[in-house]
Amino acid sequence: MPVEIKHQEENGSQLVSLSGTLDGASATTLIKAVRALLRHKQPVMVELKNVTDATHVGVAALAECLAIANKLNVPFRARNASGSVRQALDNAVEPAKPTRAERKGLLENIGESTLGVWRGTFGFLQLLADTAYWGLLAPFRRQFPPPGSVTSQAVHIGMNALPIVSLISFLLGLIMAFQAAHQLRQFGATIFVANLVGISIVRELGPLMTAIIVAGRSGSAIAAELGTMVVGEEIDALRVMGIEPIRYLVIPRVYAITFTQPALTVYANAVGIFGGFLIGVLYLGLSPAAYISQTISALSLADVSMGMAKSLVFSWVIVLIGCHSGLRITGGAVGVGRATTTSVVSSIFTIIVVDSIFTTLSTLL
Amino acid sequence: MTNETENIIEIKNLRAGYGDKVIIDDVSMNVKRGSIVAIIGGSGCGKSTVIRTVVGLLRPMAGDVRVFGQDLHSMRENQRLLLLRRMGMLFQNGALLGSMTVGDNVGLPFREHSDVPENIIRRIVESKLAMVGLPHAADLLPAELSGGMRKRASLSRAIAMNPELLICDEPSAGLDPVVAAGIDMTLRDLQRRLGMTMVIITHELPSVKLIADWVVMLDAGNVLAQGTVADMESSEIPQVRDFFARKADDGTIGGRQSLLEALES
Repeated sequence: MPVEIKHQEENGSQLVSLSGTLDGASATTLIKAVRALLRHKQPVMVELKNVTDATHVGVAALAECLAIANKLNVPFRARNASGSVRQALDNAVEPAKPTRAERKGLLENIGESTLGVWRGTFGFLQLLADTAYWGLLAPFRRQFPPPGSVTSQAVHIGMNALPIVSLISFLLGLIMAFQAAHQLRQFGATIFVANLVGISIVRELGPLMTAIIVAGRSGSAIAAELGTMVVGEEIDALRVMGIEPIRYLVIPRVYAITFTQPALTVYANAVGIFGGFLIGVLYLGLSPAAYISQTISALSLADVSMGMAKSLVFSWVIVLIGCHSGLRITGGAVGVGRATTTSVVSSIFTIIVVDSIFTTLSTLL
Repeated sequence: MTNETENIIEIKNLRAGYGDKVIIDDVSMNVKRGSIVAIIGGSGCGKSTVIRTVVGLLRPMAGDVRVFGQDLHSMRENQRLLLLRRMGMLFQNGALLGSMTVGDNVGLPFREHSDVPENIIRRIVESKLAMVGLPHAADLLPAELSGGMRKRASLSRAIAMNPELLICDEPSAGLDPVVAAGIDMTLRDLQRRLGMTMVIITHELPSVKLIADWVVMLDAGNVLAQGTVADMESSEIPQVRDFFARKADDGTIGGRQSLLEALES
């Protein structure tokens, strides 16, 4: 039998008499009734004499009533609990005192985010300095990354990316040739498809697309891997063993990507140009020899070296941001996820910014 | 080493924490050569923080930490590395490198710090793994091990270089009593055979009674009491006696009164 609620006034306070079983079914009704009484700032006394039994949900409802009363600063008491009801109430804990959550002011928020950005930047510069030391100077002091680690990272970062890089570069070359063909055909200048595809792929799209693919594939993997190692205290374990984590974990990745990224970019350029070549020959009916010689004459050494320089800088952006996001994580699995996202988003953002700087400078100078 | 004292670790008025938050304050303790010291205390009282300053993972905010008579935090990098080779640490969750086999993990300090040829490292790894009771685990990956095995593997990595000082963060936490006792016996055995000095963080009372020569009890970032197990059991301080008598707190539920009391007051 669910609880029955009656209420009457008794010398200045509201007497709420309950009878029956205090359970989940009656919890909401009870809270609603009590809240209405408490709103009028009148003390409430609950008569529990006729309550035969109370479940833990019912008890929690009483605790909630008490919490509401405490918040409104109105006395809320109960009396005559007996038997199992008394036992149940004794097993429950009083409601927690409302702790006022510290609301931060606007200035504090601004200050905190500024500090956060500063700490992040400082940490990144520190990583950059450490990487420069362990990557450039330490080898002269006969301190090398662990044997075999550079090769295995090169396989992960470079070789395993070949299929996806092939597909995307090929399709990119194809698309560009199609798009250009329609415009150039109006002038009867379809042979210039070769120039357009060649130059835009070698100068821009080859390095850029390869970098974005590698950031998504390997930048995220680096962040997640190092992040998990931080969570599992593996980085601390390395430090305690006297093994510098930068040398052991970061440098092999930096070395590997420094070699694989330009190589992947050259490969991507070749495949992209081949995509354009197929369209030029099969769809536009250009002669293969003409297309190839047109491409070669369109490309200057400056274009090629510009593309290579970009790919090198992009590779360091990817690996350093990946390592930085991974090594500074806090907060377990959620932190690893956040680090992975951060690494991809910030590397792609930085890559595009760096690319625009490159392009602007090379055009202006 | 020049001014090497009887005390392997000397901590004086140590204050340490993370960011602005002070976790331990004014902690002083010594660890004598060849002894097993247990650091006990409730969760979050700063046991691990003390250890992290000792092994150089955390810089003290104030006070002095000396290991083998030297200050790890103000040394040149290459001397620091030499000092680190004289100690080993067993982390709470093992902290084995997940990307390599157990055998490679145990051999890692050797590969990194010595010119010992590979085939000899393999023999050393075998014997260290056997010493902790894992004679056949060398080719397994850490993910294939159970919790107790992971701790043992990590222990064998910690003792790979025969360190003079072994530090264990909760070596037997979360293991069943039999496995936990096995690890305790292994530690005791290692101390007898190799004469290692050990610092063990634990809140397993049986471990403390079984292996500790000296007990340091921390509470809320301070040293509450230190002494032998017998000293602690007859301590004047009720909290210490309660810990050793396994007595629960007073009747309140986490410091709060029951709903009945609140309603009838």
